[in-house]
Amino acid sequence: MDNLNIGMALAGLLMLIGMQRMQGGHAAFPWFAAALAAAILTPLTLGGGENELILLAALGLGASLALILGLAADMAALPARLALMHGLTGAATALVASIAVIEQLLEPGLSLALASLSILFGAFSAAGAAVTHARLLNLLPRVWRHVAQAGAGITLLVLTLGAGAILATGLREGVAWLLLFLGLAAASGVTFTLPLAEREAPLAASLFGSLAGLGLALLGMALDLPPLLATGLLSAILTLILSLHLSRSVNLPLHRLLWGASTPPVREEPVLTSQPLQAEGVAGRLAGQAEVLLIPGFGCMAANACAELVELGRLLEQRGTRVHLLAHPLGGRLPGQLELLLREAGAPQDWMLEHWPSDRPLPGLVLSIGAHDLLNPALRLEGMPDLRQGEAVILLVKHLGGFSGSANPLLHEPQVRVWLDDARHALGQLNQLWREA
Amino acid sequence: MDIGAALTIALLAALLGQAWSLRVRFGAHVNWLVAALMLNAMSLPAAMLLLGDASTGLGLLAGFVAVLVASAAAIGALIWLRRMENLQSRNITSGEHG
Repeated sequence: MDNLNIGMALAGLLMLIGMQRMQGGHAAFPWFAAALAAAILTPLTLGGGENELILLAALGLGASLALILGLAADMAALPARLALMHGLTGAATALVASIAVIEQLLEPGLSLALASLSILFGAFSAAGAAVTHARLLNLLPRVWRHVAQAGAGITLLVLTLGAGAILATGLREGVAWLLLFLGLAAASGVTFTLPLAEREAPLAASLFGSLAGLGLALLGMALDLPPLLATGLLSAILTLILSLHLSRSVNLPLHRLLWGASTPPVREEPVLTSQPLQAEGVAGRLAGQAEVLLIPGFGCMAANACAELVELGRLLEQRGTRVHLLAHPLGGRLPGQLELLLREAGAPQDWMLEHWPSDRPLPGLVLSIGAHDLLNPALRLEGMPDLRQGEAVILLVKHLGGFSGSANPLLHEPQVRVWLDDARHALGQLNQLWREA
Repeated sequence: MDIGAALTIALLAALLGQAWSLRVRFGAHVNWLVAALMLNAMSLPAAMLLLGDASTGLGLLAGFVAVLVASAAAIGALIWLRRMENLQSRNITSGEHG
């Protein structure tokens, strides 16, 4: 194990340099690529054991799957792909710990207990992340909620821990017992995740990453591989603190994720008192504006309307309007995702803003695209303008309840007009009108 | 592993993770989630070593799947990191068509 430890420590060190570069705003890719090369080459140079051909076949298949996971989707699918890949790392950790149990590499006691916990965290996060991935891709028809869900989830988790404890003490050995434990851990992960709605899924995926990291750290201790302990724990702490930060920012406490038990029901949609705008009315209001602020949000991303939005900006700019595009970090499913989507759609750098300075006056017209929750003055998000101070505001929304279902007082402001439509369809129609004008 | 050494490593890793995560710019959050994913994929060399030495049919099967999924996650995360950094370094100005 010593040579493997040296190789893995080198890979870990290269990743730390990459993260330091990332912190400074520089490219981290070359360092992470070098780290991965070190992580793969170390066991290969150690001989690959007796099963080298099988090992190379697994690596080749894994690389092919990675190409599909990494390339066959646009930036809108990033949160779903991240959830899936966190799940795959959890599955890998659980399987490595299972091999150590199957091949009887560990003595009953502390080592076997650590491996059992590693299996629990790995299988739990793998199953949960798979459900989260399906939820984010809208593959699940509905959110499963039941009054007894928290009780059932906790009972299942206690049973899983009991099975793990019996496995760790060596009271029961054999593959059947290990499979039972793996199945219970995976069922716990599924039970935990099924009651979570789409809004909670990215946060849950981040938490599963943290659990997978913890599982890896425990595996490192069980197998006497200190670099695994260090990288696993570093990942677990990083993702946990980032998840806490995100949960505070979106006003979604982490404890609300516990089997979806206390997630409040979605409110009824508010009634609109004024007549909603149509594309022609919006085009008329945009015409002749010296400066316009465009604020895309989750609805813009979900409708895959970023290309139409950038096109609108270009049409406005061609007619002499100065365009600002506010890509707030909370605009997408994950902080920073919306900016990536807009860049992918070709948004110029000089339009982009991450925050609107509180002392900067608002332009004559603000058009928000699916940013109902982001603009809610009741949520007071840092870096978002208070549109109650705006001269004219148009909210393009698909439905008045927004994504979170929170009441939005902006809907009742006299200078705010609502445009009810799907973002992609609405912007496409507006661009067509501008092109023909 | 010696418990004292394990706790020391754990403490240092936790401190480093805390120090970094508190300085992460909110807009770059997604990059750090990919970095954490790469750290989690360090199970790959351990999976490769155990698959190489596996002697039972079930051990071989579990090792094969472990290497497959760990390498898919690690290489997949690396591809996403490359794509994200490419987009973030793109500097289109007004008048240019991206």
